[in-house]
Amino acid sequence: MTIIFISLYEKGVNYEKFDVFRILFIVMLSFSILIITSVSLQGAEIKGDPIDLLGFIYLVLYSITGSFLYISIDRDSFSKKELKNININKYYKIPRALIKMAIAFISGVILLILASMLIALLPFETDITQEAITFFNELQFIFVILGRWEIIYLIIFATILPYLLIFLARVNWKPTILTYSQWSSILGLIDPISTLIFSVLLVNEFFPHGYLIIVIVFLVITIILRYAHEVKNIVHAKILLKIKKGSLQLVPIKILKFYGVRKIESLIGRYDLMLHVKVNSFKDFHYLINRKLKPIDDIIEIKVQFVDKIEK
Amino acid sequence: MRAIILCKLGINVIKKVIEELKAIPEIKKVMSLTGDYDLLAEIEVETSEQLFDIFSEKIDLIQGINVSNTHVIMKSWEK
Repeated sequence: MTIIFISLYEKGVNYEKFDVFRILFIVMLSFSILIITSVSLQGAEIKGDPIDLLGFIYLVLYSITGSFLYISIDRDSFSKKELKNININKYYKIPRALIKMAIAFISGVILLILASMLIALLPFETDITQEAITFFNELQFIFVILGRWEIIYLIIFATILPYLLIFLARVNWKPTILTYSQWSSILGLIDPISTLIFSVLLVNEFFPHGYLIIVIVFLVITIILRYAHEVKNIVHAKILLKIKKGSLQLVPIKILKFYGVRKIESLIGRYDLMLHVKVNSFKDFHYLINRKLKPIDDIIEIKVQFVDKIEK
Repeated sequence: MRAIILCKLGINVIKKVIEELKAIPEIKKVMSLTGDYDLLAEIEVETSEQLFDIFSEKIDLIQGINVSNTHVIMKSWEK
């Protein structure tokens, strides 16, 4: 659901193209969600524990807030000082990401506890107030839970290690066509596929094998369609700049902050700088040129060269 | 030391020029472009004398390149 919400956001806010690939993968995802929902409802009926509509609404709200989280992570920009530090040592990105995640987690925990306290104090009874009261009643067992070997395993092998690998990949990523965040959003579909397979095989979740195969095929096709959509719509260009005398120290770091500018090289020759640009739409490209580059007084000349094909 | 060479080509020669540029081992990247220039080639060499040798003995002699513009890369910044 998160992928569908992000796609709709990209269309609404960024005016990204709604081409046939995007329409098809949204349709495939929607069918997969319908099949999974209907199978879950069947399974719940068989177990004699029907699913509450309120639970499904909470799931949708969780997907919407998750979408905003992914969008803001993708749009996370570096300050000028951080860009200088990254160009001195690219591994600077790792402690930066760790600190940001730690701050976000701790802030979230504090907000969660405060919000739960307020909800627990509400004068009327709902399932949310019950959950908040249960949370505080069971909080005393938190250190017992954290001491269990399964939790330690989850912390190290299911959280710390994967995130370290993600950060290392981000730091060392050399995109030939697509950026790291594009690849991670495409391959993020492997998560629901593997969850389905492992839950059926290991936990014996109710899911008729016929439907399981259909959903997996749909999700695999969605990965391919998503890849095709990203590759088809990417705008790849080299922008050559001539800048005023005396501005070579400041202008590159200023421009490197702009969304879509992946790399800047300073040149000796007719032009002073070459920008390596990759954006998701011509609207983003237009915004970069007209709203970001042209207003910079230090830039005398801008020459755009669109990359048709990488031959070698 | 790295340099980029921007080339303007004649008509109907792009495939031939691309193949000849790809055959030069010091040329690490070749891209076809839309704009004032038709091709971008990135070359990596040890010294400026080597750059001159490769340019004068190989690139300058490729039939089909009408205009070339070479820029030496001083420094790069990434994020």
